[in-house]
Amino acid sequence: MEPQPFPSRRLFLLASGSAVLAACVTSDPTFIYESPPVSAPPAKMQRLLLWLPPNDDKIDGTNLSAAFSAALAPYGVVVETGRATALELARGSDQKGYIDRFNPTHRLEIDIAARRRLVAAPAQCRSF
Amino acid sequence: MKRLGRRLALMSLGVALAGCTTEQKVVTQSNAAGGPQQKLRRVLIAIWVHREKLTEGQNLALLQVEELQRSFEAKWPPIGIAVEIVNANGAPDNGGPLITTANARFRAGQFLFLQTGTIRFRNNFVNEYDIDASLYDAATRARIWRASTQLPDFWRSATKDPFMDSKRQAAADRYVDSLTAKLREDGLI
Repeated sequence: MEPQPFPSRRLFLLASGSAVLAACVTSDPTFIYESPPVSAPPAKMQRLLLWLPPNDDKIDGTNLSAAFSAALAPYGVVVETGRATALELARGSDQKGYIDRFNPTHRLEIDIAARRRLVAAPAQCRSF
Repeated sequence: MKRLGRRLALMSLGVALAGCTTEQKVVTQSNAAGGPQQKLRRVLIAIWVHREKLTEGQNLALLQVEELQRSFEAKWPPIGIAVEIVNANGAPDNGGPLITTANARFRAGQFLFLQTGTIRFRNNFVNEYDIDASLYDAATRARIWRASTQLPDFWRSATKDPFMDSKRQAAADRYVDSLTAKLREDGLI
């Protein structure tokens, strides 16, 4: 995770789900959640802003977005997807247009913190 | 014939030496905030090199804070930029108190935070990696510039070896040169 020089109240979802990113690994992903110690009481989700990495290099954002929409539709949740910019400077500014227009009740921000890639011969490579 | 043979031998030697050349080409990509920005004058540089998940050897293979510090201190003051380096490796609260203390004395105009980015391994050795840089304006606390520098073929060009100190310092210099060129290109120097 990037060093946070100034306090941030962003909720981080740390998904140790690298398996889902590696086509060669078939085991189910595992998830670790971290929430701020003091947070507002939960409210029902109505409109979700899904915030994804800038490109599909490490995660298939198009399919992921469709999967979230399909999974949450039965609960009446509308999903809007936005993309981070490459070498993002200020996420809040980038999201402002979405927030003004879509007025999400919740945001789910997905960042790829690490990736493991297994490659067969000639050498084993991993990426962090 | 003898002359031709000698020429061929020299050419072969040249090719062999070229094959051993460890000159590394570093590549920096950046994103700058729109609008005019203050030129860099006093920059506090905080550096996070080590990663918890790496072994000690893997962490030591990366360019160390001291190596980067030597490069910055050699290259930036001559172009009018005062620097203060903070080694934030493993510091409490992610180095926040260290940065605050250092800045109380230094009073930076900008903060430059460097940290190890994506690492690519080959047989558990650090083969190549990226260094991520974020530049913050001290007055507004906004991130005004961000860059990622790829150090391809790092292992071959800067392997950790007691006899290779100059080689490693050259790698640190190449990184700082690349970062400086990109800052200049983006109008911050």
